Amino acid sequence: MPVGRSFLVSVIFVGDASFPSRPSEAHSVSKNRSNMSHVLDVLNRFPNPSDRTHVIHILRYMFPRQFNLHNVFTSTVDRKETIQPLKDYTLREHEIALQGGKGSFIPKRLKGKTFDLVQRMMRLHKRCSYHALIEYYCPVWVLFLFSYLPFARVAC
Amino acid sequence: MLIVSASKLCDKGVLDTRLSLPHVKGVSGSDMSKLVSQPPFPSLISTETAPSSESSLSKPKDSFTDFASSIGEVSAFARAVISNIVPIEFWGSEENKKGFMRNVDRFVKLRRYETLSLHEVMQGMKVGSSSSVYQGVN
Repeated sequence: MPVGRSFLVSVIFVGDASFPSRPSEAHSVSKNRSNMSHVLDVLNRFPNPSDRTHVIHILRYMFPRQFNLHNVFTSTVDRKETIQPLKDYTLREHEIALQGGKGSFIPKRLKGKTFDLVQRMMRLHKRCSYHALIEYYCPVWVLFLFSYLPFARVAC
Repeated sequence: MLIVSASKLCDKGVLDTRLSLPHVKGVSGSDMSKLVSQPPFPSLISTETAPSSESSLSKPKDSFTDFASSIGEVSAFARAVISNIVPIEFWGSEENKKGFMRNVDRFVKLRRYETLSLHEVMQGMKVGSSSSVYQGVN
């Protein structure tokens, strides 16, 4: 399928496909997935930036078309697999295993600068304190809870 | 989507009304007239005269959505993570990064059935600059 301006419109960013609309259901789903969530990210599954095979694996996820993997630009969506407009690319392990035999192959365009940048991104991911970020940007207002209570209001 | 479950125990709008109540109650009507040049707001009068309305105000909400982070906070967190993880060379230029961050904000703020296409995200992106690594790469 040719990549044109009209085609780009049909490529839609889908949120979490399994995220339900009702908050009560969302709570139960997040509880069920809490044990799995760290494995869903490819950067956690292949965390070592000094390991060449790990970096290549991340490259496969970032630039699938270069590795002839299923992608939004040239591939068609199998309607038996998903009801979403596009395929879910969270786990490509099976597809990569099927391709096989190209363990250390890197396309010409991704050699050099891109390879180094992906390595740096993996290092940044390893070093980043997500907990500190969420504490800063989405703080928990514990103190304000007690402003409802009678003794707290007297103290005010 | 990212982290809607990150919890926040109270929203600020509710908090402000709760905190201001004791102060309002502590000031008598004569003191009020000395301090405030304007006539008092109708809601303040009603809290002083009718004590039953106070109990209905102090009843805490226990809805699940009250404990969720606001959309703005989620968007700020997502943008902070992206700018921490993705090296600047990936964007090509500072303008590209800014434009992408604006789209991240848009994506987080989307409502049900609203979509964001790749075409919209690519508006204003410059891929031809010398520092870009995306020349001809999908």
